[in-house]
Amino acid sequence: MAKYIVKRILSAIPLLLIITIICFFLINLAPYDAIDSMTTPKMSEELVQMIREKYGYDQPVYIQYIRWLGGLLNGNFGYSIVNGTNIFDDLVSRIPNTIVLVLPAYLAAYIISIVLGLLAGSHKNKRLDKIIDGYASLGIAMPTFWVAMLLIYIFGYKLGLLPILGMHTVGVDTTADFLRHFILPFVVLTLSFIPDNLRYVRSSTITQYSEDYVMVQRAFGASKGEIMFKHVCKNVLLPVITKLGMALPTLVTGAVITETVFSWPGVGPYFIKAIQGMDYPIIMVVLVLSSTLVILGNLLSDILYCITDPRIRKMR
Amino acid sequence: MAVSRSKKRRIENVIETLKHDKAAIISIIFLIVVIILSLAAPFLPLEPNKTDIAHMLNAPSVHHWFGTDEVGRDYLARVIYGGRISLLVGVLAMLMSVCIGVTIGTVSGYFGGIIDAILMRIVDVMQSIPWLVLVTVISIFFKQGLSSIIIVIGFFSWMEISRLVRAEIMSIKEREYILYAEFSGVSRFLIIIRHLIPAVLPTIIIAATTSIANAIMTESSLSFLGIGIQEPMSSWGKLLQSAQSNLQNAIYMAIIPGLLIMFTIFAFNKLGNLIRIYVEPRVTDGTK
Amino acid sequence: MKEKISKMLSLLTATALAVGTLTLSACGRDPVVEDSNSSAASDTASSTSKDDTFTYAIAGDPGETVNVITTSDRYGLSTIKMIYSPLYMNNADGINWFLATDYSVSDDNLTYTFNLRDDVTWSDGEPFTADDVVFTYEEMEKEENVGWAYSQLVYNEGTVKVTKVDDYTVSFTFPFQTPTAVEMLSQIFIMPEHIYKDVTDYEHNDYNMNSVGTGPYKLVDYQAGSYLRFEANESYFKGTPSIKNIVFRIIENSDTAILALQSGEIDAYSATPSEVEKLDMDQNNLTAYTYTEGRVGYMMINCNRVPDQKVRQAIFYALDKKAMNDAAFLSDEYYLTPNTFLPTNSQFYDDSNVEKYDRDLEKSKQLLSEAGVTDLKLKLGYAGTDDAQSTQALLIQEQLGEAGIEVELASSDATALSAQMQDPENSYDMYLGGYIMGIDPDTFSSLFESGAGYNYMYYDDQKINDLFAQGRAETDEAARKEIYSELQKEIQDLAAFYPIVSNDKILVVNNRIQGIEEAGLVPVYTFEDTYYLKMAE
Repeated sequence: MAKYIVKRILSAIPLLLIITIICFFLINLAPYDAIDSMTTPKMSEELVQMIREKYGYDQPVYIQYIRWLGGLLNGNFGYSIVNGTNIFDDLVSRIPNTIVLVLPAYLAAYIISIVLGLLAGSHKNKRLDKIIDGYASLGIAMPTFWVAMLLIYIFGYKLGLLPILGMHTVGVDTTADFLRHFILPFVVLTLSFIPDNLRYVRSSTITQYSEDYVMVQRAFGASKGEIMFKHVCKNVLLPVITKLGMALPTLVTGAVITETVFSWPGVGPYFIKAIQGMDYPIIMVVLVLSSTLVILGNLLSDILYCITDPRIRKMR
Repeated sequence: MAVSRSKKRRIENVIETLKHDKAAIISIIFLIVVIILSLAAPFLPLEPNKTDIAHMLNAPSVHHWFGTDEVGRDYLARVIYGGRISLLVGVLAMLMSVCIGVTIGTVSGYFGGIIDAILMRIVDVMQSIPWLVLVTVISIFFKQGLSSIIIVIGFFSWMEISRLVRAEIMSIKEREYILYAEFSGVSRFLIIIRHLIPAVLPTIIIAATTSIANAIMTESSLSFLGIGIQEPMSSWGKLLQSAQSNLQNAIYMAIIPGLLIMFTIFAFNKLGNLIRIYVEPRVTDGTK
Repeated sequence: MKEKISKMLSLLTATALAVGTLTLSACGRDPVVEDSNSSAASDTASSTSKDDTFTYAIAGDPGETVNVITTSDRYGLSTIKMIYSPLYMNNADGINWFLATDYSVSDDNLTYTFNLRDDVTWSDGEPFTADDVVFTYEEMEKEENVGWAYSQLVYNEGTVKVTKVDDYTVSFTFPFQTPTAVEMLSQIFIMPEHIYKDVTDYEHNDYNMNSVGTGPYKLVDYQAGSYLRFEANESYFKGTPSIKNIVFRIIENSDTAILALQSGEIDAYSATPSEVEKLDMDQNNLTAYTYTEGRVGYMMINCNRVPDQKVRQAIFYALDKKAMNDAAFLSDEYYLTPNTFLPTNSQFYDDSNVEKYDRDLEKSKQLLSEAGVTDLKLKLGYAGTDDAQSTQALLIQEQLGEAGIEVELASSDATALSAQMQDPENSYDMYLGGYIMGIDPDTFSSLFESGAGYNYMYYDDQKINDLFAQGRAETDEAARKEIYSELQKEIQDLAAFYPIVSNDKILVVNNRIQGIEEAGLVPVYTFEDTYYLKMAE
């Protein structure tokens, strides 16, 4: 098993390198580069050249790449073109805000979807199943930002119950204030995470129930609960648990739209703002970061799978 | 004979499902209405781009069934023309991603070996970037507009389809009639066209309906974030973007396009299910 | 006598300076909805309470690079205005003295000598002297510092010489006679020499966010993307400001800002006319203060792509600026309609003899056929995040459509658009924008002289250059006026620049904050001196 895991980790490294190369070349393809935004037409050629040299843009592309990659590894993510802030510092202050929002929402959605999925799957084609399945089908079809807008309208404008922007009122630093700001985006995000996993759990529950061993158990007079918790549950949940690893990237880029609508000071608005301002250094750092997390997430997922599934364990 | 009997049975399956599933019937009718309206829009007395400064942000009325927007344009007209764009993006992006996905999946699955390894690495790389991040980044390199949206979405959403097709091709290519065709010297190209593609067609069709739904959703998200469709063109996502600044005094501007997006995506997913029931009788056998 | 960039231009036009936050959109309305990036971060010092805090919503993050040399965007300058003081401000209402008390001009009209206040200390207790002034102006004159006022202190003929006469007297010597000197020296904020003397990179250093200033407030807390919190500077030379804390809350989503204003979460916000219409002022205890920024919103034609003057005139005759303005600014209560390149409040404004291009579709079609042009297709670039520009663009498309001219709308990010406009080979036929310039008409030369840095119309017209040169050298007021009248006519006839609107800025303020008039509402900085703001009893 250890051998398999090491092999998986090694195969992830070239993938990561390829992603960084792609990102870097995307920066170089950009319609205008960092230099353009640091200079004005009034500047003399020499001055432009000076700036170019200062930031290393006079070097051949592959040297620039190596410098850039080295910078990434050392936590030197460069500076924003638009307002000159240090990207690493920006992210360090924003990622925790995103995690504070996404992690509880993801876990809540995870638990709710498993419960609902098992319920629906074990009551196939009954009323309960139809309601749950109907919710999942509609939920998957609802744009997150639309749900957010409706909730803002109802709770923010009409009822005036909840604040609709940010994470805190300036100058107020209480948990109650945080929670009031937290509720709406949390609900929106949870709702958006539920349907996918719910459908997965439901359909694999249905598959399990149609397996022969359930029939055999029934024949032996096992109770409904026994079948559910002793057998079906275990077989349904194992793959679901391994899916947790894949949620890793969600912690950073899983709430871009929700954060944007609610002005939550996380990575989302920062990224969207960078896109609109064509702030390439930021865009590329986010691209590299989120891709890295996807790769790590898949890796983690594979490893979890390997640990939880005895068959694989024996094989390797 | 056998074929037609099974066909008959499949249709019966679908009809049986429809009888029990009112949502499916409504979905189909809804889709038909939306498609007809979208196609007929240019023949209707609608002016989606005609501004009217004297009637800005009017609530729904007899004159303007869906009210007017912030520069006095008839919202009904904009919603219908928006649907045209949303559907157009959905269908064209789907065609594009299906073409790319099927080609790559087939080549990869049929030829295997080094070609398969390379192509699947590419798929890995592209799937490693969260789609929202990928599509937004790519969209800034293109000139903004309808065609780039279609290209961006189509070009970056074929990976799932190619995986599905590849898996299916790999199992089909081991079947006797394929092996026989190979043995008797039929060219590989012909085998792909005559035998392999028809065999995976059902998979492709199901993937295509999902793909339309996804493309519509992606387009609306991009337009909502301000990096999609450009004025004066509208799409449902674009309409929601401008609705956001008028939530407080014109909530109808947000409700209408949102509902339409939801029903359309729901309906395409339902359609996908029906097609699956038609082409994969096992599915219904299990549920009946 | 040629190369001059007006001060306000570098403040507020297209190009970003070194780390440029840029500003075409900042000149216009506040950015709309889709980019939002606000709210408070977690750790706010607990010393603030609502009773002694004034919260003002700004629509952009000034960033941690704020410094007196390179900062040139609206919100960065508002921040600078809180922390630092200039020698004086020169606005439409005349000179307002801060660190200087008066000035005199030498007999040869070249040397301007300013007397400084001798009772000013920096917020760290060090005395403020002429050394700080000389240091600041000299740093501004160094090319490598990329200071925003560089081009108004350094000319082809030479550099403005800054001399310390004694501890509280400074003199500036211009290389040539000019009636614009007082304008060119104004609005430059003085930084402390003892803090910045060894700094080489003004944007990235340890001092910007730990600032030592002579302004009415001190910056005590900055949360990127969320807010800036200022505390009253007890050593301010006019006395301790009466409001203890001022918070600049960054809210880029205008809808959110309006809601926060209604709920009392923020006290002031620059609203658009349609937002003002939506607000119930009395019920929410609000007052709207309208003031002019001397802004001109315009459409420019790129003459590289539309070289035929007749075609350009045909375009102008097809436009109806009143309809555009009514759509974007609701009623003429909130805007004025300029007919020349100068804002209507300029004392040099004169539209009595200019071609105003009142809408005339027949004439437009006739001009087009004279030019032998059919199937004209034009691409219009504008900032999509700017509500007013988006509305104008839609109406331009519709109006030109009626004249048989097809318009492609290319909405873009403001920064990206201005970067593209700098390229003479750019692919736009027309662009929308806005500028706020100085009060002297010479400050507009860099927009309109042929080959000037910000002339994105790319025409070549010697007469315009000559008129600007004459105006700059003419010291007689009446003669100057005549030159600029002629110039306004000439630019209108050229038909590359279409002035659309001179819109007012509306600051909506909660009634618990008073003293707005005394604090003075001025272009760009919003408040001329926040010292005068106070809480209602």
